Amino acid sequence: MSVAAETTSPADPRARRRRLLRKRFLRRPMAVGGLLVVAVFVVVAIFAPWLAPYGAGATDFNSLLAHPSSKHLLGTDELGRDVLSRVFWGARASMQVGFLSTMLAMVIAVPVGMVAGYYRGWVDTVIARLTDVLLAFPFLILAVGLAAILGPSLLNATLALGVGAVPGFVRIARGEMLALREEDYVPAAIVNGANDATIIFRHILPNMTSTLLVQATVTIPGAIVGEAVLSFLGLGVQPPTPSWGVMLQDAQSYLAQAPRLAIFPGLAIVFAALAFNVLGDGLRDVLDPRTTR
Amino acid sequence: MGGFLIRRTGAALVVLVLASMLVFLGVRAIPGDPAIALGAENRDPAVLAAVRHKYMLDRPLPVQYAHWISLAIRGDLGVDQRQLSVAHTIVTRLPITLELALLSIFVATLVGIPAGVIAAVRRGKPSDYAATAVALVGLSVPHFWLGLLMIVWFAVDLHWLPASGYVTMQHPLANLEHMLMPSLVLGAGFAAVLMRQMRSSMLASLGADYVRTARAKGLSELRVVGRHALRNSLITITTVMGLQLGALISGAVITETIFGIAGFGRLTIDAVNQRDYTLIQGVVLVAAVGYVVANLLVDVVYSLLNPRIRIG
Repeated sequence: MSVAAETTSPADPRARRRRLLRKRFLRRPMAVGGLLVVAVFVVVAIFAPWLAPYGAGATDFNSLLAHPSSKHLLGTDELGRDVLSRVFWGARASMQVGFLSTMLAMVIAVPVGMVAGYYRGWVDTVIARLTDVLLAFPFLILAVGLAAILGPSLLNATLALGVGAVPGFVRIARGEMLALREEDYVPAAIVNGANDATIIFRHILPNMTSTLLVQATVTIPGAIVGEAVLSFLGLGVQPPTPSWGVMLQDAQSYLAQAPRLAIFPGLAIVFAALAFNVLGDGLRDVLDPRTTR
Repeated sequence: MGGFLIRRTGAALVVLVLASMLVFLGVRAIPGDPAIALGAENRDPAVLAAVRHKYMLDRPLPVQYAHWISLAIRGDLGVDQRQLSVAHTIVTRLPITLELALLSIFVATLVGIPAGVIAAVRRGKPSDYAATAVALVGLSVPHFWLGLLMIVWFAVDLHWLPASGYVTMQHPLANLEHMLMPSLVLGAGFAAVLMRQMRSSMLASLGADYVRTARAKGLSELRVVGRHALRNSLITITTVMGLQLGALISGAVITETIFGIAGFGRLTIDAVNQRDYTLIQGVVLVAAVGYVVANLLVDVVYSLLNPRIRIG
């Protein structure tokens, strides 16, 4: 059989694997549901200016702390701002922090973890110790410390959450590398004259994407909740910029009069985090044959 | 065994030294001249020079670090903006947070471990799905929101429990009344993590050869699950507990803020809000030391429980 015939045949192993994975994914209603909810949140975040009935800071002084009505579907807050609109606008901060901090963590951690796993020896030891130093600070203490140094803002919350997620990715990339560098295609590439960078990034990296994807899917909800926590504590997004955490902080003063102000932004956090967690669980089941039932 | 302990302790010491350097440099990276803050905003060059000399700010950074760390090891973390001893403040606040943490671990263990075992034993049955779903929700609900909801229901609406505050343990009943909601809030997420971990490690144990052997010997199902599978799964749980301690410290910061408990977590937030850098430095250092030492202890316990780890 010629090489050309093999790559164009319908039995191309990569295409077959993709089809198989898609079929396995679609057979999991929970995971598909998670993906749909994630998609809704992303769409709302991107198109908030068009989807939200009112502007993020638009106040209506004729209806302060109003109950839900046809005019304000989820009611209004203490300044007469439309709660539904602010939940929509708040999705922006959450999705932005969730995706950007995870990407930041991956950009830093994946090459570092791969180098540690590929070269082993003293390089690995040094990287492991440095990761341990980051792990020595409980996440929120690290984030609070960084917020104290950098000042509170959405960008700094993203940086803090990204740095906090680095150790997890370093460990995963290192562990995958230790296993993958023993595969047959590594000596084959060496014989073909490939240098280390080519082997690490061209040959090994594509083989760990599914594991990294699963880790990213479970890191994003952590970052979304983390942003809400930091903003709630006054260390993240600053009012009047809408964020679910900021909304909950405002709601704290009106728990007796208007508990609904605390309910809607909280539900948004729970749904967003839950959707990502469910999707992550589903992807893990689909991509990791060891856990398939 | 001795070799493992020495290696592990050595690594923890290296980490602590590097972490303390990071804390030291981090506080120095904060914009603004500390001499102006320490000299009560007096900008007279002579006064500033005197302040710099007194606080060793005119010396090279390594000398400053050595001075700071040698005092810190002896328990002197300096004084905060109100001229109170940082170490003393931390020591008075820590027991409150430790009580909160222990109560939450108790809640989490009581709920999470049995739920995980039941879910694994009844895999694929409704009780498994229910427990797994509740755990997934528990994992996604942020502490502080759960706390707010509980305040609305149990304090504002029902008047069952106090909304906030802390009562010392000299009044045990009032103390528990005030700690009940906070420890449920902090314990809930932890319970979800424990349940998921317990379920998957129990599933692995139940599929192992020694469990098949135990069944073949004719042992009762209770003995197979309780004596054989559960014991081995609990070993994995010790590591998870260690890894979760960081989440517990982070969770305590938020829980104490919501429930107005003047513990270590609340102190951290207050220190940042007041921009009290000596206090921030002390709090972060103590948190890191506590966390690293706790993880070291977890590793030691793990190696005692699992002989395989000592060989590697």
